[in-house]
Amino acid sequence: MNELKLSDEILLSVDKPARYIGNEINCIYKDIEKIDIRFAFCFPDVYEIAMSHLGLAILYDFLNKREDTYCERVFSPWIDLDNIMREKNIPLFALESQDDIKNFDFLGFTVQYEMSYTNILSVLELSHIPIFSKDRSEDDPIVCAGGPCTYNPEPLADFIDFFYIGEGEVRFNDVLDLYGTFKAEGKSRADYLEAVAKIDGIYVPKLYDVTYNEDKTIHSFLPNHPNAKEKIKKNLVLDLTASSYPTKPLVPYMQVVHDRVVLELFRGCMRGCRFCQAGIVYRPVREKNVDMLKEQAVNLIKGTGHEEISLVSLSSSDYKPLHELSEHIIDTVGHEQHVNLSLPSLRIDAFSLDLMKKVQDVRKSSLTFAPEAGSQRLRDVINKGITEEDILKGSKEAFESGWSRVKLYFMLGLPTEELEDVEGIAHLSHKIVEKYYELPKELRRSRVEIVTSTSFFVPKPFTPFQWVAQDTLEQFKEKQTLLNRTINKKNIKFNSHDAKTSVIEGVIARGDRRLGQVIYEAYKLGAKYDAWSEHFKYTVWEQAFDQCGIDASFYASRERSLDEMLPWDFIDIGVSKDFLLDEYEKALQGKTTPNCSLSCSTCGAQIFGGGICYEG
Amino acid sequence: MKVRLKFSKTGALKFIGHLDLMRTFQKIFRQAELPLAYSEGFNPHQIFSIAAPLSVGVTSDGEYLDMKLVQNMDTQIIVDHINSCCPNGLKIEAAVIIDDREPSAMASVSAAKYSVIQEECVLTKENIAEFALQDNIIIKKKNKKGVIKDFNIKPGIYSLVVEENKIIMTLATGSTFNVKPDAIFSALCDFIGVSYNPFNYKVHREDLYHSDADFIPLLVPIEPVF
Ligand code: SF4
Repeated sequence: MNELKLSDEILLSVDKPARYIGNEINCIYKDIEKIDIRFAFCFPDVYEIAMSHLGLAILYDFLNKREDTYCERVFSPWIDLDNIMREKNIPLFALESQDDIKNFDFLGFTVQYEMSYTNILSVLELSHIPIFSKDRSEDDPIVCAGGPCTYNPEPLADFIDFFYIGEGEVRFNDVLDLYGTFKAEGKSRADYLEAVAKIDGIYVPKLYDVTYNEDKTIHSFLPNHPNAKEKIKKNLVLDLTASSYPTKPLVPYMQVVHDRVVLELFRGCMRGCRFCQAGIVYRPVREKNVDMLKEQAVNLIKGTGHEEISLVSLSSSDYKPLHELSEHIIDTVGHEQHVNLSLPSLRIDAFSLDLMKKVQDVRKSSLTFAPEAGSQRLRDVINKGITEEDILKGSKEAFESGWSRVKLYFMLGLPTEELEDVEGIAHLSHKIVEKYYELPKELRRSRVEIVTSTSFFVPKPFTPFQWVAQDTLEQFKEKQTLLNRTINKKNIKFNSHDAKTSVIEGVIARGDRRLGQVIYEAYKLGAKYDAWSEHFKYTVWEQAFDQCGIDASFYASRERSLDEMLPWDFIDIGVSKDFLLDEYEKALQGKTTPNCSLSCSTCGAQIFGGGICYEG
Repeated sequence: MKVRLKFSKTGALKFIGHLDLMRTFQKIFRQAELPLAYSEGFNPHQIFSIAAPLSVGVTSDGEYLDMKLVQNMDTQIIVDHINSCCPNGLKIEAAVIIDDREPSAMASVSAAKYSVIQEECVLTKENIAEFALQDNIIIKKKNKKGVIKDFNIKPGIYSLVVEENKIIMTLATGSTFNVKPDAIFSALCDFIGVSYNPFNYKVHREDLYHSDADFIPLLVPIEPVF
């Protein structure tokens, strides 16, 4: 255990001091004298969110397997401590050694959502590291970033020295090996950044120049250095079974969002929903061997003592040995150690209900459906392979089995949406309520509770909808009001996301380099913790756009022409732009595309040479 | 079999509150693969309880936890197994087998001994002696309904002395009568007319006791064990 950076007085006056002391069960301590590379891994949000992130657990373990490297954690201090640190000029520190981030070799961000960008700037500033990449000197850590949002790295290009595109387990050792050599030889950060650009999947923004057309669209995007590749190819783990996985992940003292052991069934998703970025950028589907998962389940419980184990993926029902694995977990750690099994992301059908009945208390738990759109027409547009019949049949079976709480998730503002599609959300919710009342009276144990939640559609890069105009704030509000009027509130609770957040998210998601100044300006004006509705300040963002003379609607509610050069076109995710274009056209015609297990649409991801593309 | 553990909570662990400590023990016990008894029901939980919650910011060498095992085990093995899973700052100091009829540590505890260091010497030996001599020491305290009422803590102060540079005190602890160290210091500061700075007092709990008459540590059970 190391001396704590913060005084007792500070720790005892902030909320939840356990966020800042490290020293959790399985926390890794190393002798800094024997370390060549110090890596600070940052999830730019508060501890409870950060510590629930699987990617952090995987990379913390992966990087610390290297003897020459010590990976430590740093998260955003909560607002109370943030204020104190600024006031008292206390630099941000890593949880393990409690040393200043400024003294590290690397500061690496995982970028999970757009609304965390101002927190990234805040972490830099609190660490006393220049916010802009161009202002950093030899004394500053190399600042890198990866994660789902970095498939469009451009809005962060001014702040990040290099991006790592794709799955970290593949090339991060190369990145660190190179650094180790360069550090030993006393080479400069500029030398390193030029050299690291050669590694697959590494994007160094300063090695590229962008020019713009008169209409503000991108004219050219070109490397200005021989090492900089024209296309940056994502890194992908082909053999997930053999890939590094932690056996003793950290166990927080305090309650975090997901307080449990997590087992990853597979990466990618075979479904191809057209709004879903994860479903495209993580292609192809790569499964983990069930025997390996069985072994890991038992070891992870042993290594952490958690009372819950969760099987995660983008669509767990697609994992064929799911039953076998679940039974194994129930029969081993379930019976012997009273460990609960949790199964998110299941499609509701007789098969999965049977499984869920074994692992949860049906009276207390609720079931989740994500039809995403209210009408069959619109569900076909987004290629959501679920019909009204599936949903009603699933609900009926669930009610018969004793469930009486159902959660429904929809999106407002999907491409081609008409007001009748919006009303369709209400109608579908009503029909589910009716299904409940069709049950014989003696089976209706309690009141039915339906929660219908809507979020607003945000078009994302690398989806078939990357060209569409996002709805404006006014359109969002109109649809929300209509739905609120149409839904019968007797048995249905209606929740709706904040439209303003979705607009800013929409701007940043499809933004280019020029947005860097807006993000900086918003941060300077006080934007922080934007992902937290109670801290999100829309007016600050409006002001930032104004001051920078940048029109937000250019990014959010403008339909792109199909031949426009998009800011993320230089990233190669394997899936081709032609496939996305095809899918877009089919969407507009309301035609669906079969999932990868039924038939391959040769989307391009087959070039990786593995996964589902070669199993069928 | 029932086992009572005596443990210390020091260093960074002083920032971990009571509920988080309970959660942490659950995980440590499962990691240590102890044959703990579980409650009935859909969500069974491990059967153990902690004698008296320790305030955040206070360290201790004398905390107690009672647990129930479904198999007999050697106490030294229990201690070793648990300690191999504990984070720095949490350590099992001893374990004793207790009889099934032994009242729980939580029910038994009635006094706690503290030693306190002042960062800056505000309270002198004389101040403290004078303070302790009063017949009544009245503090303001919220009752269960949230109404602020006068409350005499004097009967709950079993001893209060200065030894070398430490203030040593034994105070009523438990569900029937509970006096916290910070109540003493705020009353003391009031008494001598200085402002009360809670961060000036580094409080450490030394041990917990059965009854206020004999001050037998909780580690010694009342009921004989055969
Ligand atoms: S190449 Fe075919 S099987 Fe592979 S991800 Fe694309 S559509 Fe699916």
